[in-house]
Amino acid sequence: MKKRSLRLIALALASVMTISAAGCGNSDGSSSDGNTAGTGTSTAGESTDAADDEVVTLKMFIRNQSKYTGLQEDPVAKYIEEKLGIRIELTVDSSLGGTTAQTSTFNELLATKLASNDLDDIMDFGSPAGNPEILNNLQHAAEAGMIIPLDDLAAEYGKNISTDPRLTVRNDYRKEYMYGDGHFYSVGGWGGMGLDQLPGAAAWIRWDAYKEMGYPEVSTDDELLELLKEMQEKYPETPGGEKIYAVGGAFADPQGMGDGFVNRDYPLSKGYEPLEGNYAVYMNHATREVEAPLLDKDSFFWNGVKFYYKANQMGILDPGAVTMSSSEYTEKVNKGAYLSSFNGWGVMNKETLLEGLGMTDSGYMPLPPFDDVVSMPLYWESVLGGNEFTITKNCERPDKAMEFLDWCLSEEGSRIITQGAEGLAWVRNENNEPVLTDQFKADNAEGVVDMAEVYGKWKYAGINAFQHIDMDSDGYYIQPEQTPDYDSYPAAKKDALAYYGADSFTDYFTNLKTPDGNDLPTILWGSYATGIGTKPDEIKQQYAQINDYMYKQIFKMIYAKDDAEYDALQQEAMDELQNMGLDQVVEWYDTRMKEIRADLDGLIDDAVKAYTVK
Amino acid sequence: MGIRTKQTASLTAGKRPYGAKQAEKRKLFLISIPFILFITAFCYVPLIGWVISFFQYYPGIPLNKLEFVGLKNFQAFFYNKKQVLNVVRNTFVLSGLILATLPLPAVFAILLNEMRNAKFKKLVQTFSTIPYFISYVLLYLAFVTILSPSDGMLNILLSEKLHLIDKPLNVLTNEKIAWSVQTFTYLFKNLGYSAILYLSAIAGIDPQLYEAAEVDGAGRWAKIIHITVPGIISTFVVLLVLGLGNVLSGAGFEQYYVFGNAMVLDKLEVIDTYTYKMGIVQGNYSFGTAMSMMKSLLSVGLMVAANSLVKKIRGSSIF
Repeated sequence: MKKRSLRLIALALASVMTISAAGCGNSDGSSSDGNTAGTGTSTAGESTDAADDEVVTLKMFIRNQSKYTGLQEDPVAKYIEEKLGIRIELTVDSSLGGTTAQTSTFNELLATKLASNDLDDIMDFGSPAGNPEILNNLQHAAEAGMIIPLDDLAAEYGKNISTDPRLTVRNDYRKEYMYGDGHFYSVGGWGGMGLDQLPGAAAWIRWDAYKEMGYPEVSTDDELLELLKEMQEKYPETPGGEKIYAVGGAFADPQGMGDGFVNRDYPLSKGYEPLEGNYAVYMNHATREVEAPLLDKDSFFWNGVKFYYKANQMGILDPGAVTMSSSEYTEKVNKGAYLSSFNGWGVMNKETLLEGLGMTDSGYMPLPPFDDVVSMPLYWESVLGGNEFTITKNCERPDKAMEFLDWCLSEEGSRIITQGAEGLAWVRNENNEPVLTDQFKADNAEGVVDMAEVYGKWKYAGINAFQHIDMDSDGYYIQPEQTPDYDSYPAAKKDALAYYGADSFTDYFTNLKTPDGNDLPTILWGSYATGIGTKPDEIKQQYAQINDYMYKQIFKMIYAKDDAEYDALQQEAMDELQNMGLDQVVEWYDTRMKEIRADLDGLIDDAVKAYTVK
Repeated sequence: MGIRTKQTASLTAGKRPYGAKQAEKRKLFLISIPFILFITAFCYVPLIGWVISFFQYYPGIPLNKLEFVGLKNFQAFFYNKKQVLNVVRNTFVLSGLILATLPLPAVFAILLNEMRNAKFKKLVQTFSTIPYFISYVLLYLAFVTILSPSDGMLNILLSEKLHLIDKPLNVLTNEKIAWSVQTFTYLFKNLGYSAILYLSAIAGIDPQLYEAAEVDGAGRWAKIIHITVPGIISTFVVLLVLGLGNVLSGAGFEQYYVFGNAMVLDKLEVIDTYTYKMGIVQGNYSFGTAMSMMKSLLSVGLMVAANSLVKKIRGSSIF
């Protein structure tokens, strides 16, 4: 009896393991995610033969701010279901949503899904501007037939995509330059010519402290460092007892993130942006040309490294920065533990949060640009579209998928996706202007309500055609929340506006002059980087080697014990870089960018005219 | 004073009929089926994927449409010689340090075994085993909480409370002590768990041997040297051979990936993390696969060599 029992147990165990092993190989595309947000059962496959008025479920691999995978039940999803007969089923949640680290994980998961041919109905490939592999992925997915051409579908089911000139130019670009076979296999979301009211990349400081110190004039990095040192001495800790440092960082994050403080944020505050994240080549946003700063000791790049080195020497760089991740850094920012940042997006609109910590009238605002700033990023040029959305061969209702994408790429879709459902988050007033509802404003200010789930705000942001800071055809912000409301400005903003002596931030920052009296450029050119694409293996190896080396070298320099060690490390880097093929990398990018400009300058300049730009 | 090593108990099991033996074998075979399937599915089937190391691989494109590049991806490993040599050096040094600490779990197990107070013994064993079950991510967070230069408990204690230091200690970002810190971290996490194997080996030693030794006048130390150590030596050898086979992995990918930061990366970049960076992060799957394949083959070679060496020296081995 005992033996028989043992046999049965062994057989049962064997069966379970066999079934488990087989189950792991299941790739029939059916949803197996825990569906916590809804109970719908209709799938794209099941609805193939259904009447058109039946609801079709589309599985989507897109970045989002949903807490749940599976069917979505928020007001925006409900609106889409009523309007288009489409239910949104997400296969990833907000854990792969917004931050750089999450985007990196999203890209890794996308690569895995591509490698295993496990594609959802709609796939978000991300932006080729930030990752050179994305263009390769798109081209090879099109070549492999994993994603389908969208021309005919758009003509039949995509009124906006096929007729709006702001979108047709995106399609033309994809046909001619991205895929080169006369078809477009992706539509470009998150594009336009958005206008930020405040420059996200600049020298942002705690404005209340700056005010208390009497607004000392600052026009160089050294003056800024001296000011920050004084500020740190004056404000050693927060009311909560948290030690305050003038400068922070999250240097423990991997290459491409941890070093972003030095090789991206600082240069961007001066008007330069690394091309494809490379140390070797930057885009000068004032001239739209490639700059190679590494062999020039006085370049903006080395100035950035020197800034952090000096901050460390002066004891105003958080000593914990080197072991901190971005989440720990953000936590400290939210505790008011830093006095400055070159990344304005990370510190802006913290007034309510700081107020709650007992820091009355506190907030961060940007200083006027220093003399070495060549361009101030206010307009976000992305007229060819940023994120690439595709319909895959696995999609059994490509018509409905196209209808969905077409709605997302409309002005209405962009507004609802970025702000939330109409009637709930916003309404149109007597002038037909979209304005926020009182309830939305109250909930948004309180910070307790889950705005993504209750209003649908920003939950699917990224798949919309236009950025939240773009204007619609009537001249209103796509996201009504962006409309300046001077009366409700917090103290720091009001004070900064008074200090700038302008009617509005836009008015001030778009009318700045360079030291020689010319208009300070304000456009951040995003489209050029999307077209760089495949490069020779040797160049790939060389720039990977340069990036890897520089990632380690800059931190050695920042934490050098004295000037002599700093100078020696800088010289060592400049010598070493030449052995690593820096010249070849720079030459390749320079040539490639000239080709791209020859192809795209006209296209981009024409497309820009469709938007209102100073 | 001689120590008697003669086994006093003898196996006196009678012969079983042929049918019963066959039934027993069938039962064992059935029990092993799930594990054979598991290993086949998750360890051997994926090896088919090695083929992409000979192609310029792009996800989704069938193999017959990919460009065959022969050994190009293997050659690329040596493209950046300086960096690769650095990576190989780090791998061997970190693995060597781990191998050098291999006797420590055995020593720890012997010390535990010698404890008189059973409650204290269990307490020590439990506390030393717990870190093994903590992920490296959490372990890193714990280390940062204690060692962070800005608000780590250790630095606050030494500088603000005891005023013993002027500048904060940078334990996790100090390149000079990076290898030692990682070896300590490895031991902290694995010492207790590894000792379990030795404790079970010690438990398997016939108590009569100790009794006989006592009769012959052996003290505690003599019993350890002449009974306990020989009793666990075969376990040590097995772990040594496995450790030598694992020498290209060191403490494994997770530890070095999690603890690696820009300041210590020159000392902590090992083959596994380098493969991940070049293969997955940079999307060069073929190259990543080629590197992994080389590493696996070399590891198998090392293990076979170590096993043969042990066989020559001791006359017995794992396989």
